[in-house]
Amino acid sequence: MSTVAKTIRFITGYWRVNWQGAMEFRASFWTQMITMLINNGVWIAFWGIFFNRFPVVKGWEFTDVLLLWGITAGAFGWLHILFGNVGRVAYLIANGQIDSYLTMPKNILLHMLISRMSFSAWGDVLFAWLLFFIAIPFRIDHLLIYIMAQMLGGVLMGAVILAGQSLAFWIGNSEGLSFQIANAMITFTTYPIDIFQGFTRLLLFTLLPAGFISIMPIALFRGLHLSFLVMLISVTILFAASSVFIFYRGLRRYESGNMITLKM
Amino acid sequence: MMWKKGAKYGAVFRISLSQQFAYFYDFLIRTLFLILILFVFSRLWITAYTSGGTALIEGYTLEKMMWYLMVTESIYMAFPALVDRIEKDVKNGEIAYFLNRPISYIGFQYGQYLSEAVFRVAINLCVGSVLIYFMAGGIPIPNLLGFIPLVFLALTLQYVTVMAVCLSSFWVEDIRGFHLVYSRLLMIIGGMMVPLEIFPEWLQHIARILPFQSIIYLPASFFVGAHTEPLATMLIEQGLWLVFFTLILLGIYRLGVKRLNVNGG
Repeated sequence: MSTVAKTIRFITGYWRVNWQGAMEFRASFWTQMITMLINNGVWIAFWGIFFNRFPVVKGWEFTDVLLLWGITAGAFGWLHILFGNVGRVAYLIANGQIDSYLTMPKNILLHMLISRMSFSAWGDVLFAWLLFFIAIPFRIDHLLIYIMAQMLGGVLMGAVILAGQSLAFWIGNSEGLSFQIANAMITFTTYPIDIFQGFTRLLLFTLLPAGFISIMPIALFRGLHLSFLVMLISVTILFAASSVFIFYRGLRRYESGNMITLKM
Repeated sequence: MMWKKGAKYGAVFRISLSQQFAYFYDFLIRTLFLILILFVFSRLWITAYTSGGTALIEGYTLEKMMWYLMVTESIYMAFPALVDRIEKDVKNGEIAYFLNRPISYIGFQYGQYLSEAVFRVAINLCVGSVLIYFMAGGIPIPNLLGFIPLVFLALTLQYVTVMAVCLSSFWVEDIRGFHLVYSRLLMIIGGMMVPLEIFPEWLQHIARILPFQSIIYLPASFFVGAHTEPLATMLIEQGLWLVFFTLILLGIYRLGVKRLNVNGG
């Protein structure tokens, strides 16, 4: 069997086991999923009230924000379903829990990321699809763009979160700071990009690339801007490669926690 | 006798307050989040007011709106996370240790909660004021003699309602769902994200008869001088909700403790 086929089998095997694990705790799974739907729904209620008062803000309408929330929730959702440990890397580093991945003959980062699934993230994915059917008329091109936007958004978001989490290799217990970096990324992706000007806008298209996600409803759905798409793909690849590089550079500094655990 | 009872809870408050100064890093991180949220909200409302060409919305100028949001965020983000603590105490039986101690569990937790909340709300208001002053200007001069009791009652009412939700873990396996729904209602119907006046008429009526506005909207609207009711009415409203939820909390606690089974020692 080729290495690629083995890796795919390894990944799908883990996802299957994670899903079986979720189904072992069905009540908890459903509770977390539904509460996430409610959580996201509150934000839509806020935007509903806001746009009821200001129907158009810098060219943005309510449906644009619905799309924005759909893309962000979908991106966050699939990222945390398939790579559920992405937001816990700092915790694993600080508590010496990477040891068990180091001893196994698999890609350390990949293995670590896929070995957990977030239950509540299923609520985000469901929410994203509900919004898709509410926000815009169903068309195949809309569907394809929506899926692509969620996928690219998820990779970009994951790259920033992973880079922030990897700070723990250098500054030890960075959970709070890493969490806030992830929080900032998610927060900025859920607001219309055009409310930010000057330095903040520059920041959102460079160091904290939330702007590439929050501009999607305008740049992808109001006529597909190919130049933007090329830039989006390039930036996503650049950030993904950089975060993997940062993680492995940091891993050289990792000191074992001498933790003896049994992984079943 | 009453004084002695109050003194021991006062001691819990003092000890817990001194602990707050020991966790500087946590405090810094939380403050960063407050700054981030206030910055984003400010940008949103500045854009809305300027692009809409409106100077006044339901009695709120842009400055007033920003200061209102600063107070709501400062109060909301000052609430200590009770859920994990209480759920753990109920599930591992820790709560039983309080049954034979000369201090009530609810009072002890309140002392701790209040010290954390007061410390955080004071810091949040200071940091938030500096930020909003630079972004929007125009400091409102609030009547502190009215604002402080409104915030104190709001924090206490929040404690009593959340504690009632938390103690339902005597019966329910996972209370996080309930708590999340409660806190989201507080965010939207409580007026944390927008003042109630901005709501559609029908939602405004609903929000005004529910307790959530007593925790967030009343202190914030008073701070910016946008309140329509006299201070005394607002304090009475908070006080009545407080009595109502305290009775519910005590009922839940007594029923819960009756069915408490602790194994081992």
